[in-house]
Amino acid sequence: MFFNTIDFAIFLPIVFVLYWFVFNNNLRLQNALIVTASYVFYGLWDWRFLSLILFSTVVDYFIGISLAKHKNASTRKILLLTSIFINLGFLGFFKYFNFFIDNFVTAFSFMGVQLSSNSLDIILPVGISFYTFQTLSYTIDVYRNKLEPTKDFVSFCAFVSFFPQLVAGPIERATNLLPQFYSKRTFDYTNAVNGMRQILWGLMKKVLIADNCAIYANLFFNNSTDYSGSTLVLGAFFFTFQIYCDFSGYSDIAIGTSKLFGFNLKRNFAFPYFSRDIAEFWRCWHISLSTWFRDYLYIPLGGSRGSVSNKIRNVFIIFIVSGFWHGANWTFIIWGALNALYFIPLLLSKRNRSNLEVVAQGRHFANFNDIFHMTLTFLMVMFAWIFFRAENISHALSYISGIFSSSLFSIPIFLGMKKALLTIIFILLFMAAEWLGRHRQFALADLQASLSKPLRWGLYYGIVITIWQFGGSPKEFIYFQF
Amino acid sequence: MKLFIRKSIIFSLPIVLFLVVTETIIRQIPNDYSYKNKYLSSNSKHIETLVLGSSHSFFGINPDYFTRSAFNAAHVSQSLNYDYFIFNKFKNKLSNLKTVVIPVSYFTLFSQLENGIENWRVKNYSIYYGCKCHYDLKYNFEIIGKNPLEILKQIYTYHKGTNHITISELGFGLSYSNVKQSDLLTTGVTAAKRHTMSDLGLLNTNIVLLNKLITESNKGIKVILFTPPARKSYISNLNEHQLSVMKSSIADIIKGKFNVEYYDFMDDAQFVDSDFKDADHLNGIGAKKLTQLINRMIVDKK
Repeated sequence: MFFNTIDFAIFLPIVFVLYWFVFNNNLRLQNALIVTASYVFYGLWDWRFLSLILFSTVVDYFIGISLAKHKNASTRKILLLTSIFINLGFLGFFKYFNFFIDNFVTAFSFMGVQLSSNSLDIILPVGISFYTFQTLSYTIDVYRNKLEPTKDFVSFCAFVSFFPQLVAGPIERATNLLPQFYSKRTFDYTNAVNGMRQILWGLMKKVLIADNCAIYANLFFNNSTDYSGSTLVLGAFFFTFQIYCDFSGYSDIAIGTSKLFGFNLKRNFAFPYFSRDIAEFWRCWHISLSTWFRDYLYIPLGGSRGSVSNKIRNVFIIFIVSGFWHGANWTFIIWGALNALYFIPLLLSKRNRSNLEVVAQGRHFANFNDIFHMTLTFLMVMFAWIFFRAENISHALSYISGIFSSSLFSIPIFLGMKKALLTIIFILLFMAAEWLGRHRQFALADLQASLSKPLRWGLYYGIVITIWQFGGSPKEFIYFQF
Repeated sequence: MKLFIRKSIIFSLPIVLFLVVTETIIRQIPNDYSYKNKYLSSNSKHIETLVLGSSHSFFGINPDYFTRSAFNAAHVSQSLNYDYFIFNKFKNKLSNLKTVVIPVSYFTLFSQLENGIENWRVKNYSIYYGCKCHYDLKYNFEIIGKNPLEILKQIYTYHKGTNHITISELGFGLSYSNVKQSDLLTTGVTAAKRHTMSDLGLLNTNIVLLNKLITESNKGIKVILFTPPARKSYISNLNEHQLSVMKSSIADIIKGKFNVEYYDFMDDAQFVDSDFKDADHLNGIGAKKLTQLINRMIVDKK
């Protein structure tokens, strides 16, 4: 089931009513309802892969309990490695099997050995990268004695499969989400209203911006040889907003939905396109994944300590692994490596934490210096997205060479320019709203403090009507494929 | 909690009211699908020749030129599963039926309405024909997939007197009859590309449907299968593999069945440029020609 469907619009109120009115007095039943609803939510996509979630849940539940029982360091290590092996084994098989087979065959062919490629027709289970990392974080935290293992199986099932964030995050830490299943939730009106606002804002991002941008991003990327350099720049621009609004839109709906059930999820995006350098961008983009890699990979590797070569190695590892997490394609690896190249000069010159506060704090407008750095960062990010979006490396390179051709300074010409212009206007309005709300958790958060009720309701109706009137044709969320 | 529920309901009420009222109004506006369902419900016993299929028969066969009483129950992009549904729904009422005419175009055996760009039409079978084929909401409501201005415009134009029915009394699609011809070269290339499937996986499903339709017509009803005429620009851009699978499948389907005849008009020299609306659709003149040809086959072999 997808958030941007009528099915979800019916599913959500039903679960909400059952949760608060039928099972309100029994915590275990409430949790069981969440598990059931989550399995229905996931099973409507493909019920066969529920077995994977269940298997992963059972494995990590029992390994967690075993870790608490055993004090012997080597036994604990074996238990941890078992969890890592099983979880990453599934992920590796479903996501990377064909990639490795194809690359081995290609590598051997360079050495003159011809092997036959036996790639399998594997369906990638939606959300596997997300829930795998979530369960792994639980086992690692228990192993590190940062978390008491749970003996409440239903709560653990609910933690792994919690439907708002099951298929595309935010990737929750057990230390944050699991304890929320142990205690009775109370309905908080302000929190719930904020949740509804966040759902509306997320839907707007997805349906109005991302789905409309997708039309042109797909058109220009799929037929890149037919368009001028300036049009290809526009294509990269549209994809830059498509990926942001698609993914952060999903996160907003997930976080907003969780609020309706009394849960607080991690923030996943913090206005990344207002970043003044690439380090700030990575503190604001897909925060739950960046911090996961930071805590479970970067810091164990030594982080930013040690020699210069160690620092560079660690940065490359974390960015390349992060790229590879997105998919089995060299384009993602190059995208990761490119971001590492952007980041390393900042790290080595110790300027990677120079922009920690919100841009133009206490002012309405940014100064020239901030505007210059935001624009530069945006262009660097946009350039890297070309690799992320391209089908393969040669497609990315041909797209880039298409941009840097003599037609770069021509006026873009393509079919549907009027609608594209309208989409650009929506993007500008959206960015203006994000700018005004950049001090908040999301642009519409806590709106009651700044707008009167009639204005607020007028704004909500305006957003609903605009989404309905101008929304693009429904498309799946991009991050479902990761 | 009560305050939240109350405010949510108050907020949603105007939107829900708008949806309910407009959905109800739009369903009352007569359209091609509701007309055909109504016609078949009340006139089935008079029909001797029933035409099914996609736009190739919807715009290509005009029942006015049949000698016997005929009705065109084809619709744009109507696939074999809906041909079978319509036939099955009315078969008991079609007491005088002698001939069923079904086009087997280049794409027919490999496609289904649900999988193509015209899948928004599925709702018409649910709403106006009462087909319980899908539970997906988008296939059961008029207003899903339409924006508010489209909805209001549809209602407004109807109340201003615009007729939303685009077919003749006997179900023939009129919108291609007297309109300017599209460029035959470019439409040939784009249509061939659109009709070439990356996956021929629906072949077996469609063969089963066609065989069921033929078997259930067996009691004295003749089934005429035909491949509609097309222009060179379309034919030369077809995928040879898909075309040969289509032809061999038709040969398999008709083998040993005495109530089935097949005619291939795809490259028929009787059809000239002026018979076409675009590279794979006939105009009114071409439709007359094709109908008369098929009529002769029905009458001559009576």
